[in-house]
Amino acid sequence: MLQIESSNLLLEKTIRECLSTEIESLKGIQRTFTDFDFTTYQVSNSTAKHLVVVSIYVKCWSDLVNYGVEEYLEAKYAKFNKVLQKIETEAGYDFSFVLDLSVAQKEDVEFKEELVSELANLKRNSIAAPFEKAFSRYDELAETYANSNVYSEEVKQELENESILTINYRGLDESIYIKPSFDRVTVIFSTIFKDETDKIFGRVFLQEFVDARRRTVQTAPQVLYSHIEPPLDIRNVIQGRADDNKGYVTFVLFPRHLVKGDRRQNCISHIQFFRNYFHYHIKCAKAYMHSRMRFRVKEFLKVLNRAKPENVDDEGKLIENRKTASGRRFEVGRG
Amino acid sequence: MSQSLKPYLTAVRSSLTAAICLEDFSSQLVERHNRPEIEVDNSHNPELILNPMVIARNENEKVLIEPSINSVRVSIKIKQADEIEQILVHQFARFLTSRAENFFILRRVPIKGYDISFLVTNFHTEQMLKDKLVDFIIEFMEEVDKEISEMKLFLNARARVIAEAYLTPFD
Amino acid sequence: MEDWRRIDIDAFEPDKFLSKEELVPAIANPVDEAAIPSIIAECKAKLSKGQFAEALKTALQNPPYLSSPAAKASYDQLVFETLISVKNNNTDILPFVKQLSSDEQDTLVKYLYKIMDTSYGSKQGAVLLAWYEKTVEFTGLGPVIRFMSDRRTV
Repeated sequence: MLQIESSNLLLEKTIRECLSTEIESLKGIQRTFTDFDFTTYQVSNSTAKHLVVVSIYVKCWSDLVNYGVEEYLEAKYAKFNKVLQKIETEAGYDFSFVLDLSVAQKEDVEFKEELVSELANLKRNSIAAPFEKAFSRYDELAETYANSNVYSEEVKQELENESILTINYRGLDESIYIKPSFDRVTVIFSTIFKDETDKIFGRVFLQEFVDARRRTVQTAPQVLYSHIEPPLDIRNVIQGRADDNKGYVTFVLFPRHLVKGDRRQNCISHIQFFRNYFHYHIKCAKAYMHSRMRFRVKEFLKVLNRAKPENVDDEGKLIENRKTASGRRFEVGRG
Repeated sequence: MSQSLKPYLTAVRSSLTAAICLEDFSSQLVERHNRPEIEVDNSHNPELILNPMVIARNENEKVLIEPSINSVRVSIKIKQADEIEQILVHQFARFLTSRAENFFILRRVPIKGYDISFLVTNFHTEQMLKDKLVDFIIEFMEEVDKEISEMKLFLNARARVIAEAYLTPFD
Repeated sequence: MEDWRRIDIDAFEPDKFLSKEELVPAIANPVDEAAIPSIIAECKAKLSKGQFAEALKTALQNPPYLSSPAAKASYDQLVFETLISVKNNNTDILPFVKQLSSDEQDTLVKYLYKIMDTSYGSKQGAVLLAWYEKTVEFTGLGPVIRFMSDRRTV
């Protein structure tokens, strides 16, 4: 399992269940589950059996609202508006939809599948809003500067002042910064390493991210890494304290990654899961090291146990039936 | 095995063989106590402590053997070429010391300046074969080096795979 | 009669512990501290003439057991240089070990342990370990045990 799926499996399963069960036999649903980055979903049908309410809580919602997440989500799910409507947000959540099963169940399979997969990607779509915004800003800039001298001082200055989109997706210490420009979009992640081991493993991993582009995947976005020191682009917008354990990872997305359509969507899903992917693999590496050490320690114990003069086997268990040189056995209790 | 590793291990082996010559010895200070003399403050009876030995392969790899009448303390400094190895050695040492119970001769806290310490007392040598104990320490030193470099290689290889796996789908 | 059970007998016999200095046995003819520079000079002269065996013998013949730490340190350096130079100029060091007397072999092992503990010595670990390997191979564990238990430290 190398990649992390952008959809939420539990959400997907629940919705699919709702769509495939007869409304009469449907029981009351009240499910709450969580996703990466302190995200919480709730699926319930407390008002009426056929009305399933899907709510989401995202930690950085207030940031997302600035970048028009609500409009974006409404537009994104507009094709399902026969069955899916935005409703007043449930308490404790940031955004709610209601799904009318009585209508949805009559739709064809294709429609249902699409509905399920889009709903399962609710978090991905929420976080996608600022990316979409930044990318469309890039489209504008690219058009504006298509024919101008981009090396002139004024243009440079203007680009310099281009506003940066900030998403504090895990509180103030871990954020995503997105800066559009005319020929690229820079995405910067700030991340905290929990301990010394994470930090060093992280550094090894990131070094490979940096090198990978040079070595094999030439078409990948450029990756830069800096430790403690924030990159120049975002120095003015940094919030949260400076920290020894903080690292900044910069991705430079080039026009080839930003081609409208599937590729852009793919790029958004992929890049927003960077932190999860990265930390997930640090944990995996640690777990592997741990199991390795466990094995090694067992081996050492075997060696040490050989030092015991009793006849023990490699596992440290006593071997019965000791014999003398002539093959006679020791027997206890024979006078 | 590299060129200088063999003489290093041979030197450690003969030093250990010489040092692990222990006998039961009751405390001279406290009635009916019996403690590893190397571990207690011995300013009053220096005759119980023998000259400590250092065997160094280079600045980063050495062994300190502190013999006394009824106990020997062996401290090992494991090679650490860079910070990855440092953290791996640190983790490994911590992993071992938290299982010191099973290892009988492992000291829970290493001596300052070293990564891992063993404490062999006369009670150990009474229950275990001395030569095998020495074998264990030598094998330990060999394996730890190997393990650390393998883990490092693995980490780099893994990093490469995941970096490529992440970056490829962008295009 | 006085209640003899209550007499504090420890008061009659004070604790008697040996100090570190008392452990060092009498040394027959200690090296005069003033003579050390001349030994060093003699040894270096022999080295430069290529008389390695003689130089080694001179260095190990009469180590300064009782000198000040500074004088001992300069002597350590001398032994170190001698060992390095013998090793660098000869492929096989075993004959050099063989021609030493048993006492000198003991002293050699003492110096090997001591020099390995210094910062300059640990950089040259490979050379010292080669000396050690050859010596102990030839002599057995005797010198190692004598190193541990001998209170006449170099």
